[in-house]
Amino acid sequence: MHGMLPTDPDTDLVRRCLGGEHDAFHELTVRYYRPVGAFLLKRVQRPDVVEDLAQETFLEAYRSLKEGRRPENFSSWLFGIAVNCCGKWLRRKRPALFDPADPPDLPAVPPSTEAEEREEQQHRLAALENGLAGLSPATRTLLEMKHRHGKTCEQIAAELRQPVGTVKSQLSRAYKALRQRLTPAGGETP
Amino acid sequence: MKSLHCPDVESRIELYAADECDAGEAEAIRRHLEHCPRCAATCAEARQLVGLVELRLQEPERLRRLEARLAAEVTPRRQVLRFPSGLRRVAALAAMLLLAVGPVGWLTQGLRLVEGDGGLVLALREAQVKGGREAMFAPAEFRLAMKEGPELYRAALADAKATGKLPPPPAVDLTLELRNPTDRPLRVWVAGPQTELRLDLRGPGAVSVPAKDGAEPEPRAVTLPPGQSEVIRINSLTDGRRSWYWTEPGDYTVTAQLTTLAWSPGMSQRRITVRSAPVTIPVPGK
Repeated sequence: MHGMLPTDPDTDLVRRCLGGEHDAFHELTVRYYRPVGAFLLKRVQRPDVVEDLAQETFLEAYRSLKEGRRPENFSSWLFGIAVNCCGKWLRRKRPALFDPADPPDLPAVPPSTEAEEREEQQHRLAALENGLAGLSPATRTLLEMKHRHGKTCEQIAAELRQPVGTVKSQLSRAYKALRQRLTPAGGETP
Repeated sequence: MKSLHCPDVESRIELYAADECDAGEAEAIRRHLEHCPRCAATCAEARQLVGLVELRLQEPERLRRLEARLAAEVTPRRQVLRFPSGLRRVAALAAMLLLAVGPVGWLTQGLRLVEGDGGLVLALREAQVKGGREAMFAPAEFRLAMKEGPELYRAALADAKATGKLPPPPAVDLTLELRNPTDRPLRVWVAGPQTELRLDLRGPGAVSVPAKDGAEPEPRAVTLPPGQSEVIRINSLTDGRRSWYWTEPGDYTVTAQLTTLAWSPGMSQRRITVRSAPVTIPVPGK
């Protein structure tokens, strides 16, 4: 009876991973990297640490699978590891020397459930994808130069031989268009 | 810059979240955000957007770096498990020492300068202060100076899969200059648990692997008079958390980022993050 149940792709990939197929874990990372990254971003509110935490999450998952751990539901298990990585980071990096009279930082963990956070970020990712697809090639190039290649507006302007103000205006318009899609008023988040 | 009103802030908020406002404008926005919850919430949204865009557009490189870390993970753990438990610590210590002394030995062989003259200064660009209320002080600055040899690491990293021994990270002469551009003394942590130095290498064959845990440096804070600098030297391409390698010839960029606590007399400590502009390093093939 058990063998007749359809297996979901994750279960199959985990089974192959447990059988020693490294490529299977690679497929899992490709499937989950973006959702896990978005989830981590929502939790820690620090884009600059998301890559590290995502790496820690996947490495931890990989090590556990190599040690023979068989998660019942890979997705929930993986996000559980992500939650733990966030917790460790927040404990490790919380500065202890701030003046107690200081106002607190923005809440790193919003008051919603883990499942709600995941779902919300999934919607945001989908909206972002649609938004990026709707941008002109020139605007998309600007975003790539800025966020993929880490260039500043001054460097982009020099490279494209455009005034810095023009580059900033174009970027600003692109961000606003994308943000419009990601906010509830944009109609793409629940 | 004069104080801003909500519409002014809203019009600039995405560029502010993307660290693309000039220092005066960023300071005016930061002040406004401290007292305007509505704009602060908008800023949080904008930061989420910028983070998601970065996540999305950097995904291929990030997946490649993750894959490199996973690949580096495979063999060493198997080998360590072969040691009896008592020897495991000795093996780990030996690996750590290898990494610690490797770059020094490599440096003494003499390196060819590939860019820069005399002082080795490759670039000094603007510094950026990230974060709203974190931007208490005017931006500090990084000066990056680097020399580089023509070694490529592809073969060495491939060997590491079999031997479990990672090559020493590329030897560099990296000078981080943390300058106090304000008109008042600034006390800042430059080592210890309050500081987090991060390097990032991008390029056609950039690979990072986890660095072996080294000894935590002694906590150290310095006082910087107005206009004065503190220099931090780094002699191998590692920030203690990750080691970076180039595995293909081509142009690479390195950036440095320091998160630390700083304060002026009579004021509470604040976290600041300063980031250097990317510095290009041409890595020639053999």
